[in-house]
Amino acid sequence: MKKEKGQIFSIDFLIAMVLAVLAIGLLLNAYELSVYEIKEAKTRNELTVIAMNAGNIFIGTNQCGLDPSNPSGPPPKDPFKDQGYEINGCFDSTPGVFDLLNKSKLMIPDVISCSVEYSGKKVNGCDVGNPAPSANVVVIERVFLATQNKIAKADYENCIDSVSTCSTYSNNTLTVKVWK
Amino acid sequence: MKKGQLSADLLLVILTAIIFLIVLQNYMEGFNATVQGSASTNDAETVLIDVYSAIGAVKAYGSTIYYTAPKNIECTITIDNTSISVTSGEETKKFDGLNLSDVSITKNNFLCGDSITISK
Repeated sequence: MKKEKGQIFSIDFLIAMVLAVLAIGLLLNAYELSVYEIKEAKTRNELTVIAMNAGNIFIGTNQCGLDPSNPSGPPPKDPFKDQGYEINGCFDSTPGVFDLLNKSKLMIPDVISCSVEYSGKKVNGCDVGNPAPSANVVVIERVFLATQNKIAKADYENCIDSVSTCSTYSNNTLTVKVWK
Repeated sequence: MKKGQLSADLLLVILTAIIFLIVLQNYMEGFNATVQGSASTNDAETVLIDVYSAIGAVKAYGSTIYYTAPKNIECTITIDNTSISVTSGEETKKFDGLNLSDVSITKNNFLCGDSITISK
């Protein structure tokens, strides 16, 4: 295109400026999306920690061998402790023990909504509502053993080694769902 | 175009460039403030999650742990029977509605980088 003397503005220059502005806009958009993704990942990580923690506390609170009438007292029926063994991942399913748990005892903060379910029952404070479609949701499942009976070490080892039919415990699933 | 004459094209381009740069600067200032605020919050929340996890481990397993709070930021950590909070500058991140009455902590108010004992 022939330029007259003194001419600065041309169609080429106009098009180049438009493209430059578009490029800058796309770059800023990509940067903003990255910041958003980081924020979302942080929220998911927080919810995962809370859900895992709640699951650990649930199973750890009602350990097999505890006296259900005095769950914070010394376990009178604990054949392992004297020998220095700890039974992890075993839940005392004696009726009434489950009812002692609630949202605050599971260390789930107020601002987090939750659903904690075991064998069709829900923990107090985590028993109503479902997450909105736009909420960040984390769900974990913990498979654990539950029993109401006194535990013999031979039975425990049979169940762990699957040597014979394991009748001392029942397999159960704890589902912890948290959302924000 | 005569010698010394200023063209309208040049004036238009200069005006457009100035307006564009002003708009871009305002946008970037707002964006930078958001990113910096996010960074500070992230650090306070990171410390909060770390403290929360340590206390949760004690509640779950009944163990005693010697815990040292992260020192990547200047902050104050406060723990009572129902909450854990981390304050860094003007930002405070907090978890409320917890039941920590069965957990014993040597110091309920300490700084990032300090050590405490958590037991059940």
